[in-house]
Amino acid sequence: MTDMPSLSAAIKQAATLSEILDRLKDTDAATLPAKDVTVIARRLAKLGPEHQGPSIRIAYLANHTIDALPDHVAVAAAAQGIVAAAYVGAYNQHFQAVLDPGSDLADFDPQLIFLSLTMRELAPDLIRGFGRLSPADRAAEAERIVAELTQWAEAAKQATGATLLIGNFASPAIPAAGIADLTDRDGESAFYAKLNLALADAFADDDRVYLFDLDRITAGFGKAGATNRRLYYLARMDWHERLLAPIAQELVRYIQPLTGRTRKCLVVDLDNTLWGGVVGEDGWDGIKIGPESPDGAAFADFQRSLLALKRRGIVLAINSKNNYDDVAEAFEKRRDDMPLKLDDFAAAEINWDGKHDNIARIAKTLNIGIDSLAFIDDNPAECALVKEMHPSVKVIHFDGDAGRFADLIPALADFQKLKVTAEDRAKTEQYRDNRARSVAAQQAGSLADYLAGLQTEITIRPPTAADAARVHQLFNKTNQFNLTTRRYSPADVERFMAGNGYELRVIDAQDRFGQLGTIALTLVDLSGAEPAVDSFLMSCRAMGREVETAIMNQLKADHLAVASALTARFLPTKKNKPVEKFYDSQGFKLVEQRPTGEKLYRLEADAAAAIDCAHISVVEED
Amino acid sequence: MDDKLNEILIDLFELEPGQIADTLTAEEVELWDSLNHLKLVTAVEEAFGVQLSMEEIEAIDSVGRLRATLAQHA
Repeated sequence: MTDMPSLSAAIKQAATLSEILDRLKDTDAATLPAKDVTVIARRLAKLGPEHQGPSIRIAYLANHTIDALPDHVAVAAAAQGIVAAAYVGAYNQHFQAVLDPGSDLADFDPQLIFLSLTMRELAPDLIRGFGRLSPADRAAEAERIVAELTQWAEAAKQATGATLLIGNFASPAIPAAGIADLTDRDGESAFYAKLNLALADAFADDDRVYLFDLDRITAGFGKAGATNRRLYYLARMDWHERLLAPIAQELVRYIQPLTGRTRKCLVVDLDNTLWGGVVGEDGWDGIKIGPESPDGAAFADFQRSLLALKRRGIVLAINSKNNYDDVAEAFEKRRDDMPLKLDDFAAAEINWDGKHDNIARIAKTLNIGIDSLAFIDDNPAECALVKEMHPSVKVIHFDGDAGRFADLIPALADFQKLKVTAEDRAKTEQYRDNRARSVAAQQAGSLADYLAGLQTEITIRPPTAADAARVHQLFNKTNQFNLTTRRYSPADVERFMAGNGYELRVIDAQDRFGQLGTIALTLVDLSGAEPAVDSFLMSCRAMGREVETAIMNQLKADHLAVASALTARFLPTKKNKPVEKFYDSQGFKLVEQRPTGEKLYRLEADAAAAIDCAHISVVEED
Repeated sequence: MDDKLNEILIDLFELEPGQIADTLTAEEVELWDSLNHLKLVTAVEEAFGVQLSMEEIEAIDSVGRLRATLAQHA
């Protein structure tokens, strides 16, 4: 075996950031030598500022030496195409950092603050002499810790626009009382379980604060070795150097949704991926799936892991070289063995076409960008082809070990959501209803007949607290029907919902096929002399039925009753070409076109008229 | 051992190969601060499969001292 040229050597020679990101794509950062992590992170930090793609500024605050972590996060984030800039706060000054308006932290303007407090500093008595403390003392300590973290979170929310990520507390590898600990209701194991539960409870409904499950991460790594004692005594490094990579990977699971990079759809191959064997050759009764064979049991677990993704709101699709009837027969006749049903897939391309063509078709059917797809297949050639033809698709090579993949799927950073909303849980049904709608469209005589037959009804209303997560999602995930593509943070959403010179409206839709859910929002900036449309965006599943016209009619009626004009702008991106003429079509006058393609519009009250879209009924709520 | 060690020193401290000498001390190297010192320790422990004591880690203040310490573990 010859030595591979080292990745760090290649990266040192790479001239541009995109070259480096290309090299790092899908690298498992945990496998890199420690020195290479530092070398690569330095290159990323040097070239990062020129980056045009997704990026995030992260502040790290801790009462232990956390300085070695940001390099690992930078490399793990870069493997997902995201550039992470770092600021490390002074040791044990997390309160000062957020309370001092002139602090370096404020200058850094973090989008994410990661706070990790070690119990060794925060409550040394709990570590050094747990057994000495009375049950009342222990409870009081837990209460103090929850109060302190809650206060810190409030202060940090006031002082910055960042989303907060707070580490919880790892129960010890071995309690001081030994195996007797669990017989004590106020024992050490019980203490940490209750404390972490109280913290989770304190922040569960807060869209700006999330807990980081250090207890789970250290358990997965091995608690007995989670601290390298030599480095702790020498330098207060609480985390073993090899624990840094799994912590960084968990952080990337937050970074991916925070930067709007969560993928929307997992496309799966069938033969030797979803089940063992080839249905066209082995027959529906010959494929391995279900409890009767070891392989079949592993494939069933793999299918269950996909079902769990579906429950998060990731839609599933099939891309398989097969005869459709063979596949349908397998799903039907093996239904008791197969956790997945054909109905669980929002799209299915089962044919003899190239897999790359099918991928493009699936994106088109679901009306989502091709870069929001991931594809899993056991055939290396198919994987390579899709990678080559669609570099923005995440390609996962399935190596046949279904049991291992069942564990790996839920951990993938690409499919993480900060919160799972009711919208998410009903996603596949919505896409399926959409398919029913497009079949109806083919049957209807004219477009007008079809639109009328849909019986679309929309409700335009101010958002409530329950909408915050969906509003954040719409701002960050809507690419095509998005006039300005301004990505707003949970803190911004909170600000808009409270008013502060803005009027935010959300739009729910339904039709005769079912609920479409909250599909659009408008944000009008009222702070200037004339109201200005800051954001106008709509989920792609509501496109093509003139809902946008009904929303715009209402917007005109609301604002031009009191103001003399309404202004708006179009900011071009790679994805929003379909709406470049939207304002023109709605009667707005183009007043300026900038070299960047940005277009400024204005609509005088005198010139404003509602545009006919009688097939949509509109309910407005205040 | 020398090549591997030199590579670590060059990469971590951004040195030119010609700068590496046993007489080179931590004080003379701009990037050889306390955090990078620990990164150096982590990197050599990983590369050579050794574990240095706290005393040894604290005592390493030059390339020569580092080389000698590693030699004792070999």
